[in-house]
Amino acid sequence: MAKQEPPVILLVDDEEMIITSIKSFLAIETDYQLLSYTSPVKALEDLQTKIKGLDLVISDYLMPEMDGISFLAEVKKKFPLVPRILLTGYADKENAIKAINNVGLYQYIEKPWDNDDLRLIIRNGLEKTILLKQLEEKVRESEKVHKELSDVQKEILRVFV
Amino acid sequence: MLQIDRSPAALFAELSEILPIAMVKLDPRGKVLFMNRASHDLLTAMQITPDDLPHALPHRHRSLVRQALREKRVEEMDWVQNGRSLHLVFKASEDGGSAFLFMIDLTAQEDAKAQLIQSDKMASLGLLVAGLAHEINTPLGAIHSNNDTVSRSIDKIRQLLEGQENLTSADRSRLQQLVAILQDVCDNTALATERLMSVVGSLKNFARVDEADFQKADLHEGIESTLTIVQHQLKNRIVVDKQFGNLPLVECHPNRLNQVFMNLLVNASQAIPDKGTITIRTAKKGDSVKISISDTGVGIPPENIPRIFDPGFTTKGVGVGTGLGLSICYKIIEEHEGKIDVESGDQGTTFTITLPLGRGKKVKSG
Repeated sequence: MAKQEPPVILLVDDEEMIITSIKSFLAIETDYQLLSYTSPVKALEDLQTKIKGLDLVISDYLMPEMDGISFLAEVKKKFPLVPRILLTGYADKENAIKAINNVGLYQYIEKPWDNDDLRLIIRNGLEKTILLKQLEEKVRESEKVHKELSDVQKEILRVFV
Repeated sequence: MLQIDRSPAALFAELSEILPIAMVKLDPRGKVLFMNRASHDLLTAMQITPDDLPHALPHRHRSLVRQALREKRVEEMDWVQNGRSLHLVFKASEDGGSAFLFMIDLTAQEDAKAQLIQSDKMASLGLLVAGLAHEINTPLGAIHSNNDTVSRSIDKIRQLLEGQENLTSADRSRLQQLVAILQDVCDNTALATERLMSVVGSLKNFARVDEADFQKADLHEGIESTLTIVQHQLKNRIVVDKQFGNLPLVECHPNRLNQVFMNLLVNASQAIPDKGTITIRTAKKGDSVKISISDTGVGIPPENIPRIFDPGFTTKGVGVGTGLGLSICYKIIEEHEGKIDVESGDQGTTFTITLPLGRGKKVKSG
């Protein structure tokens, strides 16, 4: 946990203007490293090859190549713990909510969004990632301790019995 | 086998009386020689004295009678009169000495067709509005976010400016002035964007295309979003007085009810010639809710009251009303197993809608 690298966020929206908006906002208010794509297919390609670490992903819902839900489901395969956020327009809200329940998304944000809400959702999502990582570490640690304890126990049994 | 036990004349007399089609026999000059009972009934319903038929018919019928006789063929024309749509068929008699006129009443079919077209139009409008709202939301989202980012940046610039020591006082005040202008413009854009967002929000709420089924809904929300849509008709002219009671959720078609609210609100605003008030009251009464919309307008003449829910009845000029608005309201409220009543006088008009909380069948069984 020593390294303090800025969190990496992946943003996919087929509309360049949405990417510019979110990128600009995050640039002045946060130190997040933003990877942005207008093509979910290209983003998936890079996820398989180039992108090593990822802390959070945001995707638009309606995109010509593939919808946001399918995209996020693919991301889940490679990075199962990374919080997935869906950005939705209006007409697809109902479907999006159904999909959120089916695929297990972290949150959805409706366009037009409020920047403070967006930042809070991202921050909470990242915190969740950190907590999950810490939890994982704790579990690993306690498993290690547990193993040591049982080794000691075996040793004791071997000595006394 | 058909048993003819009477003279052909007696048979014709009986047949013509029970025939459900209006049949009239005319002489070559268009004078009425004979008229069956169905014709009598139809003309009476149309407020035409049966003897006046030749004068009431469109002038063109005379030439059609002559043509039917001369060329021994069927002539047809449509006739719309006093809210009825008739199809007229002229046919020469066997001997060619007189013409039969059959008047086929197509009013019900025409009305059904018109209602279907109108509700189709409303459905397309809903789809269009929802699509538009969706299209607007992406650029609107970018504008809203960008403006916020610009505002935050201006704030940071202002702070930097305060920490700057090597600036001439003229430069400093010029820069401060520019930052102030930027902030003003930014605040202004924020207000404009918020207005736009609330309009789009209302459009979304009004259309609600993805909700085809009966569902529990907040009627006040529907009334509010419909008010936003008709706002431009009321602006500066009409005060809207909302006297909302405590309403539970009502099982309904929210977008269909919004159509009713829109029709009633537009009618109310059109009934008020200059300035006035529209009062919207809501209340729960036992197993139902009551929504009333009152205007301080000119009122409906008593003789028109029985006909206001008839399809095609309108007192508005051509191009203003379709004459379908209230008939569609009536149909929608009927679908909800509710009722719609009207009271009107010199002081204005009140429409009252009564809706069951749940759909009738469910209330009874539960």
